[in-house]
Amino acid sequence: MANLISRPRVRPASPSKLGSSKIGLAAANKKWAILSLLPVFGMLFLFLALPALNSIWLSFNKWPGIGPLEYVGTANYVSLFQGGQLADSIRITLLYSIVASFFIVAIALLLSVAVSSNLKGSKFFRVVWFFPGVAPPSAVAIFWSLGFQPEFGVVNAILGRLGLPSDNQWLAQSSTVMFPVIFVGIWVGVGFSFLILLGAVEGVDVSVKEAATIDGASQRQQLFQIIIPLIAPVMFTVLTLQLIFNFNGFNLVYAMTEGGPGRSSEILPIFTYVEAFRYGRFGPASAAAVIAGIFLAAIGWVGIRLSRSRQLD
Amino acid sequence: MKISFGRIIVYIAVTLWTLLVLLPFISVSVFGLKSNTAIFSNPLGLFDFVPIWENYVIAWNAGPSSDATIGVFFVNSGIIAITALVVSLGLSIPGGYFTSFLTRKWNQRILLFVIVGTVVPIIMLVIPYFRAFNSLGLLNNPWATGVVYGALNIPTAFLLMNRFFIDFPREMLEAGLIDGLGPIRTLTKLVLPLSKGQIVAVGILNLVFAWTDYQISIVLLTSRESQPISVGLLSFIGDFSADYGPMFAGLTLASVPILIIYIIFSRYVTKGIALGGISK
Repeated sequence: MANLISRPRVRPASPSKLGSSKIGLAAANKKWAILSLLPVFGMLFLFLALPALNSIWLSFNKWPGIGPLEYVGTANYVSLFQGGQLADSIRITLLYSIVASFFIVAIALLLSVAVSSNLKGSKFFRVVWFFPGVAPPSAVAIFWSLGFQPEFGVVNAILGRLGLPSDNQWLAQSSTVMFPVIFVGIWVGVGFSFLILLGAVEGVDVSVKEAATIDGASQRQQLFQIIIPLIAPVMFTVLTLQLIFNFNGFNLVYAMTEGGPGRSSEILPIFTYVEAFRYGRFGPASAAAVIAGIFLAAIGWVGIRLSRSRQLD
Repeated sequence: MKISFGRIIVYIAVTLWTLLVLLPFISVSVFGLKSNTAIFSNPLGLFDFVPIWENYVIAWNAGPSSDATIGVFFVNSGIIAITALVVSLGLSIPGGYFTSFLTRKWNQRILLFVIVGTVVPIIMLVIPYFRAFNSLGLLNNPWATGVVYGALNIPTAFLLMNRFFIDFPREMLEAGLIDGLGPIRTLTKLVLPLSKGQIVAVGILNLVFAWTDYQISIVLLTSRESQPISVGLLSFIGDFSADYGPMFAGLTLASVPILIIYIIFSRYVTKGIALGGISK
């Protein structure tokens, strides 16, 4: 609607002289385009395409970390599924990725609506709220591991002050380990989603909001009936990115738990790393990596479909 | 003005989140100046202690051995980050620039081809990297690891630079052509000085990844004297055997450089994420 009212931008008809020199510009640079793309494609081939293919090939082989490969067909996949450990790891990965991503997007949405409705200080929040995303995950993990430490950690201390149980073992117990891990995942992830969602919320046309206010829509109605539907495609994109990002969340989770206690917080990237570099089972590790790749491709594909279908509404 | 219930919730949410984000950073930097007794007797006290600046000296020289101290980790992080930046920017700037002169259709095709690379998860890459680096004798070499981080940054850097150059005013480039500047000199003399903001934004996004990630370096850099600080931190608590002051000083040292660079250039970074974060 707003687009119809706004002034149409008329492009001046370009004189033929300018047109021809544009062709000259393209011709002068074409050779350089090919030359400059060669190393780019070379690097992408060497460091992405080739290793990805190699990883698929490795998943059908046995390799203990030294010596030649031994082709074993689908044995690695069969043993992974029969052992049950892979299923556990997939379950843990999905739990972590879905719960953390859901909270991240919900909190980021709340914060971006809050900041966009009161512009004072929005610059400050924009900078500060992204701090957790810039700090090294290993440093973040150490800080929060101490925070969740059972005897002197700040989390149990605060819970105690509030009259809640304050003897939680958190990271030391496999039944509670995922709470702190998910909490820190949310703490780190909100800033990035907030920045993207804020851009989308601020992009909602002011005249649309004004029209709604004149029509007597309350703020809550505006939020749920105007802003959220309008930014839904961006929300789906952000959710997809977070799901992928957290599915891959090796840095943070490994630094907090190394996958433990036992194997109770082994998300797939940690499972792969531990199988390969702790137990020397490079074949099954590669198979797990390939399975993770398939999951990620599926998440990405569904996410793109969802955000596209929303865009057409 | 009537303050609505919704407004109050907004203020509470914004305040709580800001505290939750900032308090850890403040307490880490304050703990870094405290003694063990001061940390435990009054953890939240900000002014009632004598700062022990020596903690930073202890932290800098601490580590599993004399040739694997935090200072050494720090230098290794620098090597990796700078190599990564040179590789990703050095290839993405000319690539993204010259591609912008192709037809729209070809530019889009090339972009799509480059972006597909971001779909491959790092876990699918580390084992092949390990095998290749092992047979080439490149394990425990921070420079070589830096090249890997640079290569993995290329898709994002290429996309963001290319988007920027597509919108670059063509009249100016035509003027350069007419003045007899060749394609290369047009890029270096005319375009680069006007692209500083974008280059800084892309550079910092790359820098954050190369400085903070350790999923690749933990595999390729196994000897302790070759490790960056992101890996070195992992065994930190053990290295300091419960001497928490210097440990927090070390955490501060590991986080401060990247945070300061981010704060200085945050204007560009937040804009860069809002524009191109979608691609990552």
